[in-house]
Amino acid sequence: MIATPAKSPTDLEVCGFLVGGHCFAVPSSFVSEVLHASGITSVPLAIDAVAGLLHLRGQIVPVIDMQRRLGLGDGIAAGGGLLVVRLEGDCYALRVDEVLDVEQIPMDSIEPPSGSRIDPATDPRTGVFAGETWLVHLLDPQRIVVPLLRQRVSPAAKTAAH
Amino acid sequence: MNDNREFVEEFLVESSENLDQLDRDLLALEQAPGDPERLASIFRTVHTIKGNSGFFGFSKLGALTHSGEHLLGRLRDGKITLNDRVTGSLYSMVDAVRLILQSIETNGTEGEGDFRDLAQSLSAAAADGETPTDMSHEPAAAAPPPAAVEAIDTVATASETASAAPEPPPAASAPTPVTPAQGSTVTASESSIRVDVSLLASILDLVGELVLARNQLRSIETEDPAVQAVSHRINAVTNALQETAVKTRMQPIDHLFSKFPRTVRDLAVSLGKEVQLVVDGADTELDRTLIESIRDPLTHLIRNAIDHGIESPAVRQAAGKPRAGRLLLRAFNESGQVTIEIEDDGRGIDIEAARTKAIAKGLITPEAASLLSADDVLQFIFQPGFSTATAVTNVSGRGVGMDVVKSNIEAIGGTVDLHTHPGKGTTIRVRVPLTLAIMPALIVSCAQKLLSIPQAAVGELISLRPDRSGPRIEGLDGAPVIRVRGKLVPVVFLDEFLGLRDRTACRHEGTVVLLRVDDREFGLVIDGLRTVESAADGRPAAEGVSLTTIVVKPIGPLLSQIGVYAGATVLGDGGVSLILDLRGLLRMADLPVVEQVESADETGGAGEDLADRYLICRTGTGRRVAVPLHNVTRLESVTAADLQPVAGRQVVRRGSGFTPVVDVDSLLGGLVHPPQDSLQLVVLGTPRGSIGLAVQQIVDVAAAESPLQTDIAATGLLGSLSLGGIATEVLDLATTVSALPFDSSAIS
Repeated sequence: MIATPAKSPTDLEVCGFLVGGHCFAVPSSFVSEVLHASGITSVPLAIDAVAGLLHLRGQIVPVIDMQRRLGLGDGIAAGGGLLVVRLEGDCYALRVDEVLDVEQIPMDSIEPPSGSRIDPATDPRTGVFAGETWLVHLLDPQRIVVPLLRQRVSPAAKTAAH
Repeated sequence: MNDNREFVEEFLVESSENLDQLDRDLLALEQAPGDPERLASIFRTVHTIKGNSGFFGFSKLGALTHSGEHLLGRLRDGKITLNDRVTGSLYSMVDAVRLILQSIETNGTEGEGDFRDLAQSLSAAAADGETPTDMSHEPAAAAPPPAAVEAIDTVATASETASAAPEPPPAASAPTPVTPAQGSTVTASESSIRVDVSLLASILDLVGELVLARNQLRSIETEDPAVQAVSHRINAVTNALQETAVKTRMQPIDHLFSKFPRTVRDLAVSLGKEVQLVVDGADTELDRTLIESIRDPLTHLIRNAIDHGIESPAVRQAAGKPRAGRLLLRAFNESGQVTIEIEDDGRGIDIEAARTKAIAKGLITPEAASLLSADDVLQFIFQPGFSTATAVTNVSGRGVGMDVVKSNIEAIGGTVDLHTHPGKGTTIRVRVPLTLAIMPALIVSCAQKLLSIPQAAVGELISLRPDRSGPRIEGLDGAPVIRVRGKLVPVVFLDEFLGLRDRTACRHEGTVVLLRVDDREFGLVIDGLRTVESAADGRPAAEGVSLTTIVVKPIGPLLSQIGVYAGATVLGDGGVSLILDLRGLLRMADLPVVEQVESADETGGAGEDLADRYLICRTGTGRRVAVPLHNVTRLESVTAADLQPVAGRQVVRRGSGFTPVVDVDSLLGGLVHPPQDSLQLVVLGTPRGSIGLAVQQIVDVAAAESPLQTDIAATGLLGSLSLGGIATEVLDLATTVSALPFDSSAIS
């Protein structure tokens, strides 16, 4: 963690994580807790990006596999970490390869996402900044989840059922 | 105003409760004009609202309630007597007060409404008594003096001051024993507090956590008697705590029932009917969220009963019934559910009119309708767009409603059924679960997963035996069914459906859970019931172990959009079990419609020759036809959109090829029914390829009970024989199929 004196309004506190060899971050204000990935119950017929559900102190939380969500792999098979994010009352757990530290980054160091063809309706990347060792993509948690809500059960699963 | 916000809210809550009380009191007063207790109670309520509105500076409310209070004062003092005009204006005042309170609640102001006219009419009514009016026609009002005098006497003896000076707050008379209503409110406010619902919900969550910890504690094996004793105690306390926590969500159904006397009164008056409402079991408790969800359906049923059920006084008298109709609203607990009955002694439902209407609406063919039993005909009442009322009133009769009532009740896991005795009345029975937060469920295992099935839908469990003795799944490929006491019930293999296993390991092992959802019966094939965790040999546990009360947890939009899960529950070991949404599952499984007909063929045994068995179908025009079962290769459910025209014929695409489709009605030279949304295809294997026969419904499979009668052969028919006790036409497949003007091998 970088030794910054105090939170300044021009700084953004972010929580970093690794997925498929790339570095990402979400604003830490969304993150309610960080856990080791264990005790995930699979959910039949759920879309690919949903790894299952988690029982978190009386609450049922869907787990989103970030490798699949970001198209960076076939899903995290074992281990990794969970970033529990809270969005408008609903909780979601983001399953990632590894959870990194919380950092303060100056707002003015954030640049628009690389590549101009980002569709805000499906792509959660909102910006990019240079971390200590990595190039970090900043993600909007809302845009990680919302596109998944429009997807229906894959027709293949339904045909297989017949 | 901001400083007062909290007090205003309290005032609003209290006032709305007071208004409900006012409605009840006014109704009671109409029954017993001059009842001093009621009058005192009404006076007090209005006085309280008036006093509070002055305190908060709500001038319109103050002026209105002042006029009302003045009228009530004169009524109480016997200066005027109760007549229609007085009650009418008092009801109007209650409505106006409610309107103002609503406005205060939404935007903090009294709103734009002008109630000066109403205040004037209240004053006018108060002045009426001085000059006798001609409006009183009720016998009670026509002979008021004794009652009124008596009333004054009672009040006077109870409290001299109250009758001597009408203006001081009549709260002075509150301690008198003649005011049971006021007495009970005082007790209620002293012994209860208002608690935020979300706080109760989080208490329930925490109790759930405690239950899990308790379960873990119990699984620790120990010889230490002290630990065992503590474990026992924690167990008992946790159970009691869970029970109590669940009770915090419960409310007496009176919260809902208390609104109905006013509804009934207003409706009866506007329709010129006399209705006596009898309420029973108002103390029956129900989850508060469920009370909200049954409010509209019950209101609709009550309106229906008064509008369609109960006749006008003249008609009733002519039929030898009392002038006033009787509407009974009864709630009671029955086998873990709450039953609510709405019973009227009106004209009942005309079965024949309903039958005719069903035919006229195109819901059924005349032939099929004539076969339906009275109970079956009554089911049409729950169909969209069906109404037996000949005249459309502004109350009901627009044909919207009963289907909505049914679907709303079913959405919360309840059922509606209806019984009618023409000329004597109708009873509608609504059954709803006590709560949606916890429910009894069957926990089943399927491909190593534990899933929960709401017990309310479970009919029975059938074990499949590998040696095929006993019930078995009949292999009409693509549409598996199980025969249960002569009925054919479609089944779904849960592992296949959920994509847990590619193929069912063996179609003759496992357990079939028979389920009933929305009047449709189907079976769910599972591996077995939940196994006891400690059982080393993995034998399924006894039924009692699998049937547990589960705490339902929401799963959020991402998982509920799948459409087959209603929620999730946390099991004793901390694992999670998804709760199946059976209605969603049924919709997605797209099962063929198999008409539930009792079959005379009970023996339907394993050794029977296939050649003697027939598949019975119903065509679009309602004809009952049969096809030898050995010709049938599979059954399919298709929609009209699946049918495509190719070379002037209809085909349905199957993989890379096409299956030609022929409508059975057209085959028989009859009229072809209009295209239906969903059809059943009976696919036949012929030397020239497969052909699909389009029918409306698959009825049954049965063995021939008589030799084939060929003397009545007609176009496309081989003859007729008795199947399931009913004469059934047998299709002449050899002739008809070969006569078809296309070669299916050419298109495939």
